[in-house]
Amino acid sequence: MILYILMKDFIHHLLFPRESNNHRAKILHHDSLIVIICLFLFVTSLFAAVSKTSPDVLGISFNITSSDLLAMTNQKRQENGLGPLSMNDQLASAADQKANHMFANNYWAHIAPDGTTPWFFIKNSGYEYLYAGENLARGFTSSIDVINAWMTSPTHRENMLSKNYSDVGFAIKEGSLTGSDTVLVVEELGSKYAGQNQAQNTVQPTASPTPIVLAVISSAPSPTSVPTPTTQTLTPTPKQQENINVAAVQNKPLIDSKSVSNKIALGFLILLISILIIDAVIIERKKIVRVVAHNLDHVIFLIIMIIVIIIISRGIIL
Amino acid sequence: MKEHTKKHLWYYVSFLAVELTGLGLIFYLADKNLQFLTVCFMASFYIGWAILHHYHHHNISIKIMIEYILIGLLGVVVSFLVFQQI
Repeated sequence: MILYILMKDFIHHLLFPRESNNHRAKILHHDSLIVIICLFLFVTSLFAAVSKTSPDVLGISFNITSSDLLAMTNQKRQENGLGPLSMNDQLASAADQKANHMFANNYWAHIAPDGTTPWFFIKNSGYEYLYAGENLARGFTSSIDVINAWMTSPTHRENMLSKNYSDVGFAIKEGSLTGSDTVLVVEELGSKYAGQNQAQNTVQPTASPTPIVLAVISSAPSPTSVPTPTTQTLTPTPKQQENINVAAVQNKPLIDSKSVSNKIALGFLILLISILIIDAVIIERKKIVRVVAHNLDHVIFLIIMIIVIIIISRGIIL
Repeated sequence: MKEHTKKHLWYYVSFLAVELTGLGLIFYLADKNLQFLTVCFMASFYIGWAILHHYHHHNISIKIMIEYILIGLLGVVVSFLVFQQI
């Protein structure tokens, strides 16, 4: 009973303004805020360390398969009166090579820092394309989220719903990219080069850094601008080949770090906003004069941070 | 709180304009590092804006400045936890 009273008293001291905390919730005092900041830094470091050493215990839970991605893409195409895309092993191999290249060279872009374009991987896989395109996604945990994100972006949507493409290949890979563990989804789209006559009406290859990556080959089958392939990095190893065949990434760790970190961040911000509002209301009613910052400012800023977290936790497309 | 809001409306309008622009940038940027830099800028702007706001109304103090810095830093640190998972 005494313990209960003490706990209740402590929680009131922590969350509500009263005499014992100088009429400002203790959690809003400078020392408490410093402790909370340190706690968040500690949790962030802990998550990074544990997910590296024990990914089965703490890691990102996801379930993305190329068959789901294909089915959903074709469903969207069907809804828009377009024919379905066929899964192509060569494009899947190109997507796999692209994903490996991104992880190996630590970049997130259609065109690598060394100038390697997506067309290089497509040609390297043996796919002679007339049209080719690429969509990228990272940080998503389900196939439907990836498709929805691509469909809401006009340029990615245009790629997915282009009548120029007949084939598609996916690579879904987990790895460390630009400082954090992530799930990378690469979609290579294309249609096969049918012959020289078909190519005469087309334009020279273009490599655009914009999300729409459309390439059309000329009568020359090998674009001269692409770098020479390096066998060491681009030839799929047996392990990579295995990934192509699986073409899916499914992971179910004991604790889903993405979901937990989102809940911690959003839960804490909502709690802090509630405390600030209650604090302002109580002080307003009691007409107590304090030398503190405006609670309204903090509330607006923290709501904006909640929106930031909602936006970034969706994942990123390119 | 209502009176306070009316009195300082233009400050809040300018603050919201910058912060909403930041949100728009985060939404459209495809680079995680640039997104995080935008969050840092938004937090820095918040601190600067708040200090200027209090300074113009002659009620600035070290204690108030530290509180804004800590809340701004807290916003960055909390968002960093989520950024680590993308």
